[in-house]
Amino acid sequence: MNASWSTGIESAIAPVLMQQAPAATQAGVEVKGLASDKPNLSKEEVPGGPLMIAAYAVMWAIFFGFLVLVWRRHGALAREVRRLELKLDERIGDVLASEDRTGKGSTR
Amino acid sequence: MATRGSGPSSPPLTAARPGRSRPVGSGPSALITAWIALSAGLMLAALYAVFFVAPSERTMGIAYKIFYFHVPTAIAMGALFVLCGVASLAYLVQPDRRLDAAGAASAEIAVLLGVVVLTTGPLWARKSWGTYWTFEPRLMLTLLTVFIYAGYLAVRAFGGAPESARRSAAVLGVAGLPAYYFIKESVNKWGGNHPKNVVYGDGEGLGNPDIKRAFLIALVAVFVLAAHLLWLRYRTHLLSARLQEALREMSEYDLLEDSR
Repeated sequence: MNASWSTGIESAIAPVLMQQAPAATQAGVEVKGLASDKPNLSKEEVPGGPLMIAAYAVMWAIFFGFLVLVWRRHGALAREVRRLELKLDERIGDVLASEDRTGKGSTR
Repeated sequence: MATRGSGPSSPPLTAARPGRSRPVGSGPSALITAWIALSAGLMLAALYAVFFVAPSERTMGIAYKIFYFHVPTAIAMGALFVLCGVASLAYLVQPDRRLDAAGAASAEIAVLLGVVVLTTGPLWARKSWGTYWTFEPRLMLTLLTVFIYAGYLAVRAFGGAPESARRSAAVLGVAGLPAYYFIKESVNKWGGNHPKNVVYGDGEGLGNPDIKRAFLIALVAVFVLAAHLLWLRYRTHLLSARLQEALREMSEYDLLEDSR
């Protein structure tokens, strides 16, 4: 299933990759130290387009998914705290008024 | 009637709310808006610089674009590991709600960034090495360190009594500090396939000014986003503690039953 999914993506963006391949190999600058010279590693030519798209898709999904979750959680908590504190303040007001009426305000 | 607490040590209700000034959670909205705008603007600028300004790279081709966010995310992750370790150490020395919140928030964001690093890294490796994963020092140490801080979060969540869970988690937070040092030094000490000296390299490194500029913009953008997430989680942890405190107070004065 994963293989067919991956193949599907690669075939869908194949035209883009075909255009980018010459640019990547014939033009551009070289950054030292990127290519592995370890003999045990595969030298298979792997198209970079799907890898890049997958990396950016996963990255943004994680960042923004987390951001939305945190904002929602933060908002819900803030509302709950405000509600409870207002309730508490109301009760304190009731008690103060009651004490004033009964002449027990000196304990404040 | 809820005028007095039921507990023997409950203070008078009228003295129960000292020093509360403004409602919790009503933060400075202009600051929040500015921060969101800054994060979004920097991310857009970074994407523009990466895809429209920086030249293509000969060895890696278009997969080189992964580098611009993989490396800054890894650097931010490392900074948050250190922040969590330092906050945990300070918490063990002097327990304080804010230090605990700082440690927990930084561990959460560090693990989040760790997941991004451990996802984008193998995608890069597939192009560069022909395989998604090899059991080489830097990769394994990064995975181990992310597991340590995921353990920190798990201990906090499921570690039993809150106070002891926080202390146990703080010990894990401190234990992660040397692990992060070994991640940093692993490519120098033990080699492996992972590139080294690309950013701060002794060779050409990021010699191309457009590549360097795009990388720096992406670095700032990732740090601002990470700081934004960190601040949000920090505030959420403090709010959560405040909520528990409010619930405890209300329980003391028998207000909890009719507060729903």
